[in-house]
Parts: sequence; C-alpha cells; structure tokens
Amino acid sequence: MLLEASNLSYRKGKFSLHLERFSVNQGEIVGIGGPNGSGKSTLIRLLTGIAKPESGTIKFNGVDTRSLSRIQIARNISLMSQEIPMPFALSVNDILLTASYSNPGGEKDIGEVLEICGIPGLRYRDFSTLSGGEKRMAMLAATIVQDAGILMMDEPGTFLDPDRENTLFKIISQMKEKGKAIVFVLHDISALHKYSDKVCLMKSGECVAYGPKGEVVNEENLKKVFGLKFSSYDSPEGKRFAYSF
Amino acid sequence: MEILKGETTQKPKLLYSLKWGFMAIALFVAIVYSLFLGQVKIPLSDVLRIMEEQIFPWTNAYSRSGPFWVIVVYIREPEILGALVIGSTLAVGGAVIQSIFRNPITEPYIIGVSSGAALGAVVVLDFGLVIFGAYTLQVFAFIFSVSTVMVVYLSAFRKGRVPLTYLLLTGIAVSLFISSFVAYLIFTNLRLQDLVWMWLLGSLGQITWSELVLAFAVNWFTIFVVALYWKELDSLQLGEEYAYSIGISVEKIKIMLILLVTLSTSICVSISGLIGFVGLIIPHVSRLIYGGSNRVTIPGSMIVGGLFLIACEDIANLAKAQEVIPIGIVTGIIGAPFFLYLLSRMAGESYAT
Amino acid sequence: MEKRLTAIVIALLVVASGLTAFAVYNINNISGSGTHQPPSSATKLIKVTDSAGRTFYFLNPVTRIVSLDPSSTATLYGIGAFKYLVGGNEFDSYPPNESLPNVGNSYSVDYEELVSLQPQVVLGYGATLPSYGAYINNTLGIPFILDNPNSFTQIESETLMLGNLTGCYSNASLVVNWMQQSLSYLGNSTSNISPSEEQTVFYFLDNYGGDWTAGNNTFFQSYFDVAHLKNIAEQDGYYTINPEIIANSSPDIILLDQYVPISAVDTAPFNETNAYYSNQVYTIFNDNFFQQPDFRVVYAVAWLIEETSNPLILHGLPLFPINLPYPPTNGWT
Repeated sequence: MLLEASNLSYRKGKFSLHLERFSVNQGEIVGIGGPNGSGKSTLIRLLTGIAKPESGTIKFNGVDTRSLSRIQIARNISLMSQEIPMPFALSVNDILLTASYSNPGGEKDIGEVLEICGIPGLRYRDFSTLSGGEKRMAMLAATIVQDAGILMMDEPGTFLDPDRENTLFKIISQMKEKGKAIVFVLHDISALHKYSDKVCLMKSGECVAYGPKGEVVNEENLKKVFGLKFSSYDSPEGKRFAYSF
Repeated sequence: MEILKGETTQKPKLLYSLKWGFMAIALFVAIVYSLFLGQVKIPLSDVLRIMEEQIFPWTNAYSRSGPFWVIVVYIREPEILGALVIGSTLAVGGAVIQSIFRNPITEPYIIGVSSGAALGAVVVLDFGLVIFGAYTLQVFAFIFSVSTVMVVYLSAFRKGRVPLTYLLLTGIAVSLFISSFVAYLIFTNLRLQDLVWMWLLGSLGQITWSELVLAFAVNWFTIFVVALYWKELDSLQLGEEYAYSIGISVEKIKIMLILLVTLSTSICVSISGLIGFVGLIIPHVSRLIYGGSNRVTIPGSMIVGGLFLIACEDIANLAKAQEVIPIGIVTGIIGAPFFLYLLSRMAGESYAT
Repeated sequence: MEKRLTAIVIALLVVASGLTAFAVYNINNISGSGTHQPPSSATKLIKVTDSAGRTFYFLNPVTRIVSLDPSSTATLYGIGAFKYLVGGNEFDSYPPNESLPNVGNSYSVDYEELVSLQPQVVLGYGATLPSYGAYINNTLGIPFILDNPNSFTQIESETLMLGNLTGCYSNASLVVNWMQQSLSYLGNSTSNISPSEEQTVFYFLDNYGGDWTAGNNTFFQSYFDVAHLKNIAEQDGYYTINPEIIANSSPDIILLDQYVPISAVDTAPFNETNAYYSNQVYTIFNDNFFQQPDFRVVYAVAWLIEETSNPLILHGLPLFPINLPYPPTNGWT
C-alpha cells in the first residue's frame, strides 16, 4: 500500500475532520468529492504533511511520516495545488527546476515533460505572462517532474479548455500505467465517476463512503452528501450525473 | 526581457554570456577608474606606483607616506571596496527577502534592520558612549539591528511557524515603535540632529580597512551560502505550501536565510549608515537583465549592486566641489529614474501582473 | 545536499584563515603615527590635552592646522595664530572673508582635501570624540584635537591650549587675562541687583517643532548668571519648553535668536507676557557671538547687560589687548 492513513483527526476553529481509514494503492486513481467545506482540501493538506493531524498516523509504504524527513515525504507524495503561484519573474523552466528538488534526476526530463503537457514552447517564458490554462499545465508539468509515488491534485481541471482537460486526464492515465497513484479532488460528479477507480465522498469532515466507484457513486450516497436529488443516465462518454432541486 | 519574449525553446546562450561578461568588465573598470577620481588631482603615475607598492611591497615603488599615499590607500580604496561590499550585500539581501516574502517591494530594512541600527547609533551619539572605543557606534548599531530582527521574528511565531504576513506586519510595527525612540532622542538633543541626520542618509566616507576585511569576509561568505540555496528561494517565491510540497523544510530554511541576511546587512548598516534604495531596486534590475531565478539573481544582484554603489559614490564625491553629498541621496536621485527607464525598456510583458 | 555542506565548510575555513592572516599581519604592522606617545629623546615637548582627555605631544609648535571648529578658528585669529591655519570650515565667521580652503563642516568632511593640505593637527568640536574625529586620528593618522568648552573657565583653558600648541602662549595669556577682567567688570556692574529684583528672561532659540530654549548648563545660563537675569527655563540643556510654563511665568525679557522673526511673539503665549507689554523683546545681534564658545562671549554678555540694565556698560569694558585687522567686535553693528 502506497499510502495508509488511520484515525486521522484535525481541528481548526469550528471545523473538524475525522477519518478512520484512507488508503491508496499503486496504480490507483482515487477521486475525492463532496460539497464545499466538507474537508477535501484539508484532507489533502493532511496527507501531504502541510497540516499536522492532532492524532492518527499516516504511512507511506508502511513507514510512519513522522520518521520521514521533509524531502523523503516529497518523494512519496506531490501536490498540484488549486491555487496558482504568483512568482514575480520566474520562467517555466525555473519552476520545473525547483520541482526537481527531491528528484535531482528530474532536471533532464523537463523538455520531455513539457512536450507531454503540450507546452514545449513555453519553457523559457516568464510564468506570470502565461494564460490561466497554460499556468495550470506548467504546474502539472512540475508535479510530473517531482515524480513522487502519489500525485495529489486539487481541482486539476480549473481554467482548462476541453482540449487541455483531455490532455490532463490522458496524462493521469499514463501516470497510472507507470505505477503512480493519483488522488484528485473534483467537483464534477460525472468526471469523478468517469476518471476515478475509487471514490471518497466527504461531508462535514467525515468520509461518508469510500470504495470502488461503482459502489460509491450512486443516487443514495449523493443525496446523503449533497442533500440534492441526483439522477444518472448513460451517454457515449460514460455514466452522467445530474441533479434537480 | 529578450529571452522571455516569444515562444522560444532555445536559450540564447551567447547573448547570456555576453551580459555576464559585460557586467563583470564594467565592474572591474569602475573599480579601477574610481581610484583616479576624487576632489584632489593625483597624477596617474603616482596612483600606479602606490598600487605597485601595495601589491609588491618589496619593490619599494612608493614611500608609503605623504598625502597621495593617504588619499589613495586610506580614503579612495576603502570607499571603493566599501561601496562594492555594501552594494553587493544590500542587493543580495533584497533579492532574498523579496523571494521569501513573495513581495517585490520589500527589502531587508523592513524586518527591523534599519530601525534597530538607527537606535543603536543614536543611543551612542546621544549618551556619548565609548565602551568599544572608536568602533562603539558600529558595534551598537550591529547589536541593536540584529536584536531587533530577533524580537520581530520571535514575536511573529505562531504555532511553530512564522506566517509571512504576520512577520511583515510585526516588522513594520516594531520598526515604527523603535523609530519613535530614535525620533525622541534626536528631538531632545539639538546638537545631535546634524550628525544623526547624516548617519541616517548613509555615508561611505569613514570606512577603515579593518571594517572592510570583516565586511568582505562575513558578507561575501553569507552571499556564497545564500547562493547555494537558490532552489529553495525560488520555491519560496512560489509559495510556502508549494515549497513544502516539493520537499523543503520551509521554516528551517526561512530562519536560516533571514539570519544570514540580517547578519550581513546589519554589518553594512553599522559601518555605512542607512543607504536606501539598493536592496529594493537592484534585485529587480538584475532580474530584468539576467532573468528571475535566484540562480542568477543572487550573483547578478551582487555585481549590479556593487557597480551601482561605486558609481553613486563617485558621483557623491564629485558632484559638488569640496563637498561630499551623502551617498543615500545619490542612490535615490540616480537609481529611481534609471530603474524606471529600465523597467519601461526591458520589462516587456513581465511584471505586467 | 552533502556537496553543499562541504562547500559551506570549505568557504568558512577560507574566510577564517583569511581573517586570521589579516589579524596577524596587522599585529605585526602597527602603524607608527604614535601621536599619543611622548618621543623618548625629546626634552622640551609641547604637551596638549584636549576636552576628551586625550594627550598629544609635539616636538615643535604646529604650523599647519585645519580647523573644523569655528570657535577654534576665531580663537587662533584672536591670539595671532591665524597664519598657521591651512584649512577652515563652512561655519567659520571670524575673521570675516577668510579665504582658507573649506574642508567641510562638523558632519561632512572632504577627507581628500583635508589630507592634501597636509595638516599637522585637526581641530574639531563635540561632547565626545565624533566618528569622523576617530577616523581622522586613527585611520588618516592626523592628530584630532577636540574642543568642547562648557564654561568661561574652559574657554580660557582652551585658549591657552591653542596658544601652547601654536607657540603663541603669551598672546593667549593676554587674551585670557582680558576675558577675566572683562567678565569680572561685567559681573560687578550688575552685582547690586538682589536676587528678588532680578528680571526673568526667556531665550527663544527656534520655533520649529516647538518653542526651543536653553536651560541649565548652557552658555546662555552663564550669560544670564553674569547679567543677573533669571532664566524661566530650569531644565538641563536645550529643549522645547511647554508653552504653559511661558504663560505662567510671564518673563520680563524675551531674547530672540537672530533667525526667529519678531512676529513670533505676536501669538500666544508670548503676547500675554510682561516682556511683550513692556516692549522688552530683543533680537540677538549676531548668533556667532552667543553660540560659538570663544573669547568673544564677553561681548555677548556685554550686549545683554547693555540692553537689559545698563546702557552705558560698554564704556568701561577693558580694551582688547591685541591689535587685529578685524577687531573682535567685528560683526556687532
């Protein structure tokens, strides 16, 4: 098991999170869904070590994170944040160089990674002059250069046009084939169902359901989590979910 | 920025090397040329023989006495080298602090370096302290400066970490608090006002060789260490969360870098007073010329900062016959329009957001 | 990671060995200016102690002096040693129209100019040795003599010190003698005023950022003491007095600094004072006489008594003993 978290609890102000068990295996795509404020981003912050849990353990490959150094954790898990950084004069190349901090060999792959992400021409461009979508793809490239075992992505599809979104999920499935695990947060239930292997639905800081997507993403669970009536139908692109008031 | 315009995949290596070569030559020329500049005309041959005597003492090329010897060895050389070490340190300090705070309009002075040093200096001048002999003012300015930053840093601690906004605001508040004491001490001692005012403007006029050796040793060592941490600095510029997620021990690196910057800029401030503008603007000039990564911003700021302050020192010495204008005035008058020009000419699309 | 640490350690070693080398080199090469050490073989040394308590020894009277202190320039002129000055400063006012090279002022010195004048000694002022003084003395190797008289007696001893330094000791003695006679004459002329009869006085130094005045332990207090005037400012040194004190004590005399406009007293609290009603508001005739501590303070006191109690006081004042192209009263019209 690449990642195993048990009995996590965390509190900040009125918000509290409690999670009995959360695990990710090699070659697995895990989708996290839930309404705003349900603790999705907090969970990501806890798993990447940015926030410290009050109690509970997180293990990478069976090793407790508390016995791992910062750089060792970065080799196990990377994060593509929802927020786009605002450096004042760094080029895309400079950013990808920082991403190789825990993976010095990654410097050589920068050109190739940019090719995969569809932005080879932007390598020496000033990051701040890029469009929102280009910035996202650059940050995706950074995550790939870091080459951690688990790739965490918080709303990776934001700012992306359909073409780039397609590239994004293609890259995600390539990563999966390479044996990486991917954990992402998505708001779009249909996409969550389409791209994930396992899904975790969260509400009020707790995991309501976690398991294979076929078992978890159904009308009953969605009603429980979102408080809305969802209906599903089949389309050429897979199962779609829509809600009504 | 030429290299960042358009969709280039190739880094133009030649242009890049030329930029470094040109700047290095300009710095060397500035250092040598400044030796011949001053209020007193010294014949070329005398300057050359004095330097020969300094570098090859066994040749007895110069008698090691007389006004020319004193002017070149004890006035001009310390001023030029002082401008070099102080300009480079303040500029690198600015680059580091700007990266850590992710804020292009900060500089080392903002975390309390300047106000602390000012209080130290004014206390010495006001109470006429002489505990450390001729260097009492410098020692006090240094101690007050470093302790002010420590106070700022420690009071910004929240749950094991130092949030940046908190640190910045604490720095400003503590600086204002201390500046009030400085103002009070100046206000209540009329005879001090001229002296303190001159100190606040900054001056390179009284630097001694001992101060220089210490400043070069400590400051350039800190610059060397800081330069090794360019990846960490770039990452911090992308946000603490990002830096954390790629494996950087943010808090440890932050306190180490701030300590190094505080140490080196405090040394500068204690021997030269508050020379403004360099820490704020020079890193941007370097970024506009060489690009934004701290891999090049640190050495770039070092060269540009030294060159800039040497040029300012020459102007301060020569602008008015028989007078020395405080260098802090010159840095602002020359630097700000120059920076605006550079910004409009070279920035292109960068800095647009 | 490991590489970086190695680089830092190596750099640290280089820096440390460099510093050690410099320290060792310096210990072996102590500069031989030796102005604080008496030359061993000399018999008739000139020994001079400045106001910071530092002692200097000279083999012969000095003939090349740079003065960064306007009152030292005036004193040297008064004792006939002006010819030994090779450089002056921005604030020199006596003798008028002097054509010495201007080396700067007390806070901005043109060191290149200073050194090129090849002075044997630099005169400066300040309560403690200022940083530029330490620099001139220690780094440039030119003895820097500090002048900081705080009383009439100290002016007298500074005058004798400068006489000693320049070989004009007999002239300096004459000047000191004249000062003592004049001050005792001025003091006697007002000694009939009993403490209860003393008029109160307020000295208005400046009106920027408050009403600046001079209190205890200033030369103005000494002038008032001789003239038997009672200063309403009772704190030490120069400070901004609270206007309520002025209103409450209502001084009989207001003394305006040369640069304070007379209109400054048309507003509260000054326009309700005895001085304002009785028209006893006087503007100092020349700041330099009052604020530069040298022998000419005698005229400051004389003017004060002439204005406030005895219009005929000047007739009995002893004549200045040395004949100068510009008499010491120059600047008093």
